Amino acid sequence: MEELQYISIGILPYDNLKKVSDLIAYEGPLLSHYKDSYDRNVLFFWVDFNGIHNRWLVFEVSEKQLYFYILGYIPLRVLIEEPLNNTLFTVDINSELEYENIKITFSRDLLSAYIPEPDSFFKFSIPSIYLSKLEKYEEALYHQKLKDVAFFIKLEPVNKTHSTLVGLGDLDKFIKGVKDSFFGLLNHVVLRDKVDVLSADVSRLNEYYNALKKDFEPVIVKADISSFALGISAGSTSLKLVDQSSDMEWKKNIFEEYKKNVIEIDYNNDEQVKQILERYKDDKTRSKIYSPIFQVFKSQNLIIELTDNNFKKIKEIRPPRKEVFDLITSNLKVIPDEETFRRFAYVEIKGQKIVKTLSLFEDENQVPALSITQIKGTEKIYVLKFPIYFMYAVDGEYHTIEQEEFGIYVHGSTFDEALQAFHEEIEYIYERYNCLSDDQLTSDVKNIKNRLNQLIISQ
Amino acid sequence: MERPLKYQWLIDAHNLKDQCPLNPISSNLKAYRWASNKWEIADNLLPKLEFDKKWGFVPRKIDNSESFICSCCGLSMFSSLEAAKTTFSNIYERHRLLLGYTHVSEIDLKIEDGVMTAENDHKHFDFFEYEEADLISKAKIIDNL
Repeated sequence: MEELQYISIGILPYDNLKKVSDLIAYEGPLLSHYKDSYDRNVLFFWVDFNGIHNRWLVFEVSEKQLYFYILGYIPLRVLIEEPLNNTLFTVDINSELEYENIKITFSRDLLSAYIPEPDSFFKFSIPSIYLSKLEKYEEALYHQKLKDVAFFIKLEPVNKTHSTLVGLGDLDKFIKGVKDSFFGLLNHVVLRDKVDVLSADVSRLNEYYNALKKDFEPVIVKADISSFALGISAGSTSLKLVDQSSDMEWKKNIFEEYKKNVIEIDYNNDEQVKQILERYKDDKTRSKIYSPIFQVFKSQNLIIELTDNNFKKIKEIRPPRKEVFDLITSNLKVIPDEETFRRFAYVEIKGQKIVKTLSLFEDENQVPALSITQIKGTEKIYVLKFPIYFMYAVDGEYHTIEQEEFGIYVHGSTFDEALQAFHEEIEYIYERYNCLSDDQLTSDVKNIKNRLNQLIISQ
Repeated sequence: MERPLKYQWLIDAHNLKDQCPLNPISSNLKAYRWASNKWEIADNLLPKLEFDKKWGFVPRKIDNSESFICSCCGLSMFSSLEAAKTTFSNIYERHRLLLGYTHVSEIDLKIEDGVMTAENDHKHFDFFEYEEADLISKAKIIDNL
């Protein structure tokens, strides 16, 4: 057992210690949680032994630290390096359970052998006694994780009409710029990292991206109104889970990527600008990411400062020079309002002039139903008795057609491309199913075959 | 229990006669136990309380709670090799060093060898061998920890 040169004290400063739970044990405790008469949380960590004693490192932790430890967020090493009151105790316990050689020390003086490894995270089942408070700390931990990846900025109006208070109009533009820019990066990251995983299936990619957009809605994690300061973060709600999966790591890194390559970058540093051009090679992608945020940075109304998490200034964010602006955005303007969408509409035509147009669907996400009355196959045209209706949608850059009855889902980069794929798919199904006898088909497939045979009246 | 346990006297000495082992079950399974190649096979199969006594160690306790006494009258085991190795890698470096285990042994347990407690989340259970059981001849070191 190691000889310790710490200061001896007669007694531990915790009385009436009662065990809450053993946190780690194997044929006896290895790390145990106690509470004293003042309800203070005290941990006993086994560090040494000889033929007379077992030695324990004893230290106090806050309830929040304790829960963050058992939730796997902070390692035991941090609890030992940052104990409450900065003090730790060693106690040698003999077979009669007498506490002897009680000594006090500070974490900086602690024997290195007694300090757990840097990644000393808790990797065991959480004892049931902690479950009732777990939800509260899981929520706190989620907030903490969002803060960990947040960027912090201070906004100040150039015009001091209202002192340092920021107008809602300017704030709205700022927040929208950040959101649009972040979603631009999110879209790029999904296409970059998930095409292989999702087998380049456009519909699944779109579904995945839309789900991520909801999950990654940027949120304000800290605010200070007097000198308008904000902490902004975005993190999947799966941050709530104690999950070590690679997908979790991927999600955690998305906002980090945004922060590093969009917010914290020095746009007047040629080397960093070059890195942006290399990292995001596609002009359109780059424009989607950087144009909205450049509009914010260019604001004549606001001075924007990047700060630390206590809102202390790190640097002022200056808009890029015009040539850098043009280089990064390729002078492409991303104006979401001018994107082209297909809609069902009621149109009134007088003579040769359209006098009234009324969109039948306000929401772009609503899918209009269209129909075909013949199938244009690769070599034949099939005439239908009744139209086949299908759902058409534009999602991002993809045009998709879905026909639920026949289980068809196709896509293309234009509507015509998607429609052609739809025709070919129906023809394939019709020909293929008719090559097979009914007893070779499942009941669902048999139904589709019968339905198509009823619909197609000539070829 | 109908058949006497090898270390019943240890259980009785701690006044745990009717409480240890709690809800015992019987099963045929391959079990895995942390072991050390520095110790004799027989020592690797001693209940913790007996091992400490033989080698002059102080049982690892902080207070008078009885939570581990029953467990220390039996043998800690895992129902899978992976669980045995993972749990060992999940405890802290300092504890791995102090506990002294270096290897994992495999024991083909049969119903007639003894009774066990239910597995916990980490596939750990305590095994209590019957008086006539011979685990020493069955245990073999199969892997490093």
